[in-house]
Amino acid sequence: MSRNEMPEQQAPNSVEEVLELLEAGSITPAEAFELFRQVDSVVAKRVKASTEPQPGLPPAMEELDDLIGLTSVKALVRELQAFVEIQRRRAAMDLAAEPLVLHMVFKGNPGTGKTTVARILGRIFREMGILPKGHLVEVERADLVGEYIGHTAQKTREQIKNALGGVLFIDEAYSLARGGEKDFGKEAIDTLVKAMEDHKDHLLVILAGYLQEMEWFIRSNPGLRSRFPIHINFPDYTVDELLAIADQMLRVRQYRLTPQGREKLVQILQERQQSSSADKGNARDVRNIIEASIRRQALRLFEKKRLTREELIMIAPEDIEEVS
Amino acid sequence: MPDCLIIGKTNVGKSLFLVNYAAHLGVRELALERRYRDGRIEYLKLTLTEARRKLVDEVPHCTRYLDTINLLIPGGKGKRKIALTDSCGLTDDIHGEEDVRRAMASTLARLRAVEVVLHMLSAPMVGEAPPSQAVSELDRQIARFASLRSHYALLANKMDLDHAKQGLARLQKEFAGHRVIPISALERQGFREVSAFVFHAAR
Ligand SMILES: Nc1nc2c(ncn2[C@@H]2O[C@H](COP(=O)(O)OP(=O)(O)O)[C@@H](O)[C@H]2O)c(=O)[nH]1
Ligand SMILES: [Mg+2]
Repeated sequence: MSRNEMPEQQAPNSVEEVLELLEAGSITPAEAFELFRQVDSVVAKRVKASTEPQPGLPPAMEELDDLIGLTSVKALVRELQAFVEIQRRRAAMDLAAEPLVLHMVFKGNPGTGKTTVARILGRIFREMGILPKGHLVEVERADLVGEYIGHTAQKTREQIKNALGGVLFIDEAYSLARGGEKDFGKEAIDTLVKAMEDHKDHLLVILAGYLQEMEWFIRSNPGLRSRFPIHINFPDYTVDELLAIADQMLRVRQYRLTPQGREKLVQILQERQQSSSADKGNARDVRNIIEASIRRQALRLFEKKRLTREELIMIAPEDIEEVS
Repeated sequence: MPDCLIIGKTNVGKSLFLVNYAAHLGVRELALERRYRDGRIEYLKLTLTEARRKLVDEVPHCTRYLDTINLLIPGGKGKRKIALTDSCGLTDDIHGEEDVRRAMASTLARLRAVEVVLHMLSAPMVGEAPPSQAVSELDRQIARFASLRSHYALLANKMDLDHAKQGLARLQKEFAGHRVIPISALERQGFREVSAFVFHAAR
């Protein structure tokens, strides 16, 4: 059925209205999808508008929205935003305000967006007035743990000092509990917990690492559980999401995949997905594949005398190789 | 528990897939939760044979409600629980019966809410059609809509029939960038690949 056979009517305002048109026999299922998209984009704009008044908020928020996938993270940030705003308004009317404890645990495989999200969160929280600076200090065990008694506390305090006003992001945080009771990792955790008390309003700590390891880590450190109330899972990217990430990366660089190039990339991504390794849904590897393909395209075109605009833009299958 | 929806045109094999896939996973008796558009819910227990007779039909549109069963999908480490829902087939045109249109509306409403979508097409139908009509607007719309919101895979069903290979090749080309899994609901082929996909998506 073609579009122009559709009866004249006002664009529907809600999903329910679209479903009613379908039930009434006014539209085909295919047309219902078209209308869903219209309704959804209107709703998205409305939601956006309602969160707009915060001065300076949009840029970092939009950056988060532009990330492919990560729906639960995005929803959580919206939730936090609402929470913070309401607590602020309650305080303005002398109502008791809930304390803001925003320390987080990020759980997921490498390359699933944890660091990227942490960096953007820092900026969002600065724009919301929760953190004075909002910068990110990314550390791992070796940056915190020292070689002799006292050394660890000193190193950890040093990193905390760097992070004050922003986010301290501890990657593979579970490794702090690796060596058991006698290990200096425990000293780092204790120092960290104390610093979190001392600098309540100036420091956000994010502990990141593999799902299972992090769950074990938090479970085996009861002191951490209550201090890190927000847990976010970072699922592996699906093939579709990885492809969307590749497209986005190419688009901003003004490159494009040929259809065959796209097929090759899909094939590589699908093969990776079949494998059971922990980095199969990994955006970092997609970045490497894309960056390598841009270099290979240059190499392929280098000898040619004449080049069209099209040729300069297109990434062909021979440019794409799995990187290890 | 993640919700997984089987969606597609009438008669592509959605209902037979539900029954035989459950059987493949070791289910002996289907405990169905049947939801009508008006919100009514019915609980049914069917043996596999009864289910095949009652749910799968030569007459299009026998599924006028959403039938859901709970399944344990095996994967790398253990099993994940999902709710798998069979839905009313969608049509290219406006359907003449109000009941059926209502059921289609419930299907679309459900599609908006689920985490995992299995979009089923009949590979031999796609293979037999003239190239220009091989894939309909409706199936394109489903793919476009569902793949942005949910974990999405295309199931190319009826691979046991003639022309299915050609259909599969066409689908892979037309839906490049999407996961296409060839299956035969009748001969229970390709079910392991379906499990691998659903297991991963259901995390
Ligand atoms: N040969 C073959 N027939 C199938 C297959 N899957 C379903 N069918 C048949 O296709 C018809 C429609 O199946 P049904 O499950 O009712 O389709 P639905 O409308 O999508 O639920 C029935 O006659 C099934 O027996 C398959 O894999 N191979
Ligand atoms: Mg059916």
